[in-house]
Amino acid sequence: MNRKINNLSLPVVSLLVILFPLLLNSYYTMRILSTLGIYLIIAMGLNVLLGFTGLVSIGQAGIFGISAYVCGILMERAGVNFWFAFFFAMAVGLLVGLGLGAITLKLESGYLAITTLGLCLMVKNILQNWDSMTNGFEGVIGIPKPSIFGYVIKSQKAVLVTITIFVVIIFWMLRFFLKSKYGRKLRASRDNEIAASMMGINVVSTRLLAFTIASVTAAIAGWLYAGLYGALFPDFFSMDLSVLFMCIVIVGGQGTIWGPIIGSFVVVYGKELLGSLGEGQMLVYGIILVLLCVVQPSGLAGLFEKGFARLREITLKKGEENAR
Amino acid sequence: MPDKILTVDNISKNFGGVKALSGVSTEIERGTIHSIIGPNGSGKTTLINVITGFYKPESGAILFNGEHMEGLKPHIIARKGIGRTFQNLRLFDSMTAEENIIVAMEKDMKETLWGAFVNSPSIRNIEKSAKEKAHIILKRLEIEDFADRPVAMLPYGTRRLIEIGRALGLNPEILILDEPVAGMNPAESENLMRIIKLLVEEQKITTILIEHDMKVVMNYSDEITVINNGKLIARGVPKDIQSNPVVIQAYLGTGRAGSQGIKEETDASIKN
Repeated sequence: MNRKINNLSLPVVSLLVILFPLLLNSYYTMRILSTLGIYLIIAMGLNVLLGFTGLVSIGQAGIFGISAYVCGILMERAGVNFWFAFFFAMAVGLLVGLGLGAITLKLESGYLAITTLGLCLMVKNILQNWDSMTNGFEGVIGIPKPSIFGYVIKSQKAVLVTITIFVVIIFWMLRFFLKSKYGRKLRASRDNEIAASMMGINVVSTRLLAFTIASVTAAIAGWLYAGLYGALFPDFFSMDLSVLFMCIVIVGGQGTIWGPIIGSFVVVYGKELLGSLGEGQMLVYGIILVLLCVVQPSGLAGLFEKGFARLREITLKKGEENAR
Repeated sequence: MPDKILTVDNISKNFGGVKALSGVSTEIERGTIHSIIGPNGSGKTTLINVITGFYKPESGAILFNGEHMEGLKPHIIARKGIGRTFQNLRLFDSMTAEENIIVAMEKDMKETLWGAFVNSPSIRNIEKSAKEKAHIILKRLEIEDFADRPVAMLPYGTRRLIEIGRALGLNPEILILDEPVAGMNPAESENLMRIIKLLVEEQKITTILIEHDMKVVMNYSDEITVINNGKLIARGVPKDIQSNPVVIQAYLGTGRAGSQGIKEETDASIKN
């Protein structure tokens, strides 16, 4: 019985989530949720690396940017079809992930943070200054809207539904992946590197896999962003954005399945609320982040888990009392 | 004819100027319990770390089933069939007891990467049979009640058993136990050694035991290698080792108070 419910819950819940945007009317809400969805895709990938493998990447915005520009330029100038550009995004993700990872991950794990930081700074600089290719500060604009079966994905509602579909697909794929032997390998090499290698796990290639998955998800987000938003500007793909992705994962709860989802809502809506503070919001973010790391390292997801466990205890006790 | 599963041939290992191992050789017979003993800092754990590939030896050879192991990466040696535990426990603390064991089964789980992403039926079968195998191991170690408990919360003795279970998950030909009964009371250590003895007898797993507890060593070993200051000083059956004057001197030094202690203890344990 229980199993039947579980088997059904995947498609039913997924469908409900995908159809939910159809109930929305506010353009503003749909716009925020679309951006939230793009961030969430990147954060889910980053969670595989940061949360489950214990490695820090400050370069997700860089990978996101490369992929968005590659796909955007191909679609705008070379007339490449949106759906076909997906393969270019995959190629970018794999290339950056495997290439950068292969060089860096043989070193101590801290070097990945520094290398990806470099990548992030470099990408923004190239996007700003390589005028003939990226159009500099003026950006790549007028990327043609994608269409599916003749229907043009143009309205904010259609954009949101498309993004949500990808969020749901990627969520489930990563969830299954993390439950498989590969997920256990990631956690083992995070928990105890020496023991992992003595149990037959190639720690370097395991980390490479995690970094590549984070890169590919960021690249997919870049492709969606380029196609669905239609305009790219270099300043968007900055280090602040990388830090934002890390905030989402850490606030939500690194190494938990639901963490990035909770985190993306809290951080994105929090950013809207704090928007009036201007530069000051980074300060508030910093303080919240430090506090969370000290007081609640497993993030909000961990807090909810504790709460649920507590609630279950209480209801069980009540049940026992009633039985008496 | 005796069958050597592992040959340690003239192994040397330096740390800076310190000679941790100099020219150690020994042989381990298949299907036996072989103890490596020696005073603190004599190089026992270093030898284990060389065998399992954690350290590269400066010279010498390690032959496992006739195949050279020296210089290979730890994960490759592990996959060839050498499992181990650690002196100071190294469990995967975020996982349950069962998961800890399944991690080590990884080499026999033919899950494709794509299958893992889409949760294919074959993956579900592999996961299911891995769980069943892990339960068999947990049952052998008499800790099946702890299967779903996060290991970080479990008592020390249970954690030690889980670590042994994890090494068994590798389905090893050689099981290396680094001070398995350290910190256990006599009843617990007796129980653990009984279980290990059963494993050796029933599954023909060759066991290398590093241990300070002389009672355990003398009672359970088929053969003993003694090292001191990184050098091999004796090798033989327990009876010969405990009456070997070189060994007694290495352990106790000369002229220290109570220098008969170990000999009496081991004598007594043999009589038991």
